[in-house]
Amino acid sequence: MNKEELWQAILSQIQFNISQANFSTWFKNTYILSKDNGSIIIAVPNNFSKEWLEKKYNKLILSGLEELNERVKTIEYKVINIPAPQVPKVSNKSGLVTVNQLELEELTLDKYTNLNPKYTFDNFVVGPFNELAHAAGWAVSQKPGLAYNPFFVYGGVGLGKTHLLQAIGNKVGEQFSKKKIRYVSSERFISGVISAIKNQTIDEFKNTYRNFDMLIIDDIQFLAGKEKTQEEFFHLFNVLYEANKQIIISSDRPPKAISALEERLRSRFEGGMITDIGTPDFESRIAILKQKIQEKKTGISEEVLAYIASNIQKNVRELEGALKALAAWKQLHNQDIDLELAKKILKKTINPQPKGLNPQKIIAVVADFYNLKEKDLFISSRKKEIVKPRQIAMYFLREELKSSFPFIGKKFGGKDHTTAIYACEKISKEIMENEQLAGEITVIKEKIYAY
Amino acid sequence: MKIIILKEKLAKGLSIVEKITGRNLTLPILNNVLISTEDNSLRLSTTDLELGISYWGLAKVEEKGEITIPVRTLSGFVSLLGEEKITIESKEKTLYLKGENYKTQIKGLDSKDFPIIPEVVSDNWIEFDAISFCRGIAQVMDFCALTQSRPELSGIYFSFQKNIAKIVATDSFRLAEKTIVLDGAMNGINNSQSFILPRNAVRELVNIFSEHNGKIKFYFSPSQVMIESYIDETQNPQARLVSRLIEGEYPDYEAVIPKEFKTQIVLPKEEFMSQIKIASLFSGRTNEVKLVISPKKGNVLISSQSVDLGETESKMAIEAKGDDVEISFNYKFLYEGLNQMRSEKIMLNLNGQDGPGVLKPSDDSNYLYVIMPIKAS
Repeated sequence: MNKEELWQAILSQIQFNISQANFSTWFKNTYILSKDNGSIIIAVPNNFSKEWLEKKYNKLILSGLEELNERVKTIEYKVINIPAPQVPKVSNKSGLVTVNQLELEELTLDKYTNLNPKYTFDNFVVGPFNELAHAAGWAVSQKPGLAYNPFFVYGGVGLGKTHLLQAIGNKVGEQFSKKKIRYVSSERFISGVISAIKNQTIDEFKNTYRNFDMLIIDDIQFLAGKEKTQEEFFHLFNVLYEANKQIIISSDRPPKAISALEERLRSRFEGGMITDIGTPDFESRIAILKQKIQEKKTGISEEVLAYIASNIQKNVRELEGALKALAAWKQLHNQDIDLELAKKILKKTINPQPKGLNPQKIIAVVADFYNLKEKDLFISSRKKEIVKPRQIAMYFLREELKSSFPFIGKKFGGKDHTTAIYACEKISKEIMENEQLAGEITVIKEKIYAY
Repeated sequence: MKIIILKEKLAKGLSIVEKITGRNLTLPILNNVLISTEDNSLRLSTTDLELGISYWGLAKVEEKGEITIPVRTLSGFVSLLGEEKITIESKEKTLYLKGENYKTQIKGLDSKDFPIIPEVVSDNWIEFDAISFCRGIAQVMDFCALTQSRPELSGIYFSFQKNIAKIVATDSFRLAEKTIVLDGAMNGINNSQSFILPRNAVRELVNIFSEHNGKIKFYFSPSQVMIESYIDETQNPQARLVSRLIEGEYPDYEAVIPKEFKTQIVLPKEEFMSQIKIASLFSGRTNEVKLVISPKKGNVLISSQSVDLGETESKMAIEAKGDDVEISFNYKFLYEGLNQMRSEKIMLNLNGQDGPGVLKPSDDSNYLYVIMPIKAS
């Protein structure tokens, strides 16, 4: 007779000796934890049951065992915690909390890995735009440290880099639970380095990071210009890499295009697998929307989905935002949403008015992107590092603000309008030929509008 | 059993122990109070199988014994009595109460069937001043999650670090943290000790001890805590609460608390609260109240609107620095946080329109309240 059968047999005897109320109160969630050499350990759900079985029913259980010809000398009772019974909530006040109420996201993060369990491969929508990144990410999750190391993912804002990174981390955590995984945003890494220097705990800081089996760093481009952090990261990278520990990095642009990044770091990034996530095509956008609808359990018609997908093209997060806006409206007004209504609700999301975009903002963003000071763009210099950003700034003034060429020329230190024309034409032409520049232009454009 | 006790003592004891009874339908004896004698005291005990509460009242014990009777009947009767002294006698399963002018019998059950309330026998304990400790707990206890979907958030988190204790509760929309300086005696408590106490236990803790003049003592074991208060006259404790702890890891809540802010304002609490109350009248089903903060102008506009009801906007002068910001909150979350602060002025620190905000009393660094906004639509 195995443990389960034995306990069942004992319980079936005991139930005749005590009242039904007592039986269901005290023997609920009990079982035999272990049984050997004449001693039995019985698991009980709480200390009350432990006291009661020990003091009141011990004899009953012993005699039950005897009847079944089990030789038992001692019985021990051990509290094995099970979650408290779910108390059904009487009033449902929180039903009124709207879809738009934000949550303290960090509370859902795993305390040790810092990963958010909601990001998995299962809810990652794959399309032609991210096929390669997904396949490589999957390979990394199957053979961490061996397949592609380091694994570098880049792509624009809101296209799913973080999702992919976290999904890899979660998958590895699931399969090899002993692996010590750490997900960290660059900002957090930087502030970690700073406070370690300040508190003189840099060795401790290094050691904690060196002990990880898998390090995931998000938005590495923020390391640009932070020399001390780069140096720490460089050493950390080497230690982990040499020990075959998996390193995963994301950025909004390829390693080459991250300015103010030390050459030695750049070359290390380029030593592994580099893959990009592009913008999703129409079919993928529809698939993403359908996936989100399933998660949120809100019914929205195909027609409306097609409208959203054809109007929001560049950013998955915005797709989700549009969906949320519709879901909130639906919950609030309790009314189905047809195409006309959707157009009305999403008017602001889909046709955003570039709020107060001006030359200063464009110049500030471009300068920041190339790690220059704003005034650097205005000095007359023929240095390559300055000429290119200046031309790009001119290009954006023309493209986004429709400024006149003489105005642009004058803006940049009294240059001739022909200089401005030349700059704009050169950049427009180069975008077609040079993929890297095209990527940079996309990122800068996003930044200008996110400013 | 035969004892003589002052009515006042018995009534107080019953009021302490009776609150947790009456929730269990499968085991009727849980609606009863166990009355027993211990040295020169009458002991009252109740339990709901999650918590156990005991109270000791000084009494003249003429004959030892014990009995359990329905607590509501007894406390209803005792609270209406006019006389000072009560003589209590038990025979078989019946309790006899006698005074100069009355004679009463209450039917009970066999005390052998009453659950045994586990005790915590432990060398790890710590003492707190009851009143200030309970006051601190009361400032956070309402903010834990009411659902069981994440059990660890349904309780209150206690964490001991060096010479302070932090008490934390969150429902993932807001989070309150109270810091208490440890000035009482302690034994066997190391720096990293922490536990999660269920909400019911915390509520009873505050009910029982919040008016106790003196210390309360916490005893720890891995799965339970026991809290006791003492009075000088007897060796017994005066009151005791035993509770299970919630299993699980509390999230790394400190990561949630922002350290830097884009906008910082200081404003008078009472006025702010009444402005929020006004705006709440028009906030409709979403409870959404909007704040438009402008450090340059030195004011904040508090507004709300509803399609059905109308709209309102009011202006308040503030001290502020940093960026302009437009941010919306659920007025309840804002109001409930402010309501726990006692200072005249409060600080509201913000990080843009979707980032967490932090409310603090301006003259008390031991309390803080993190609140998430409603996403601007």
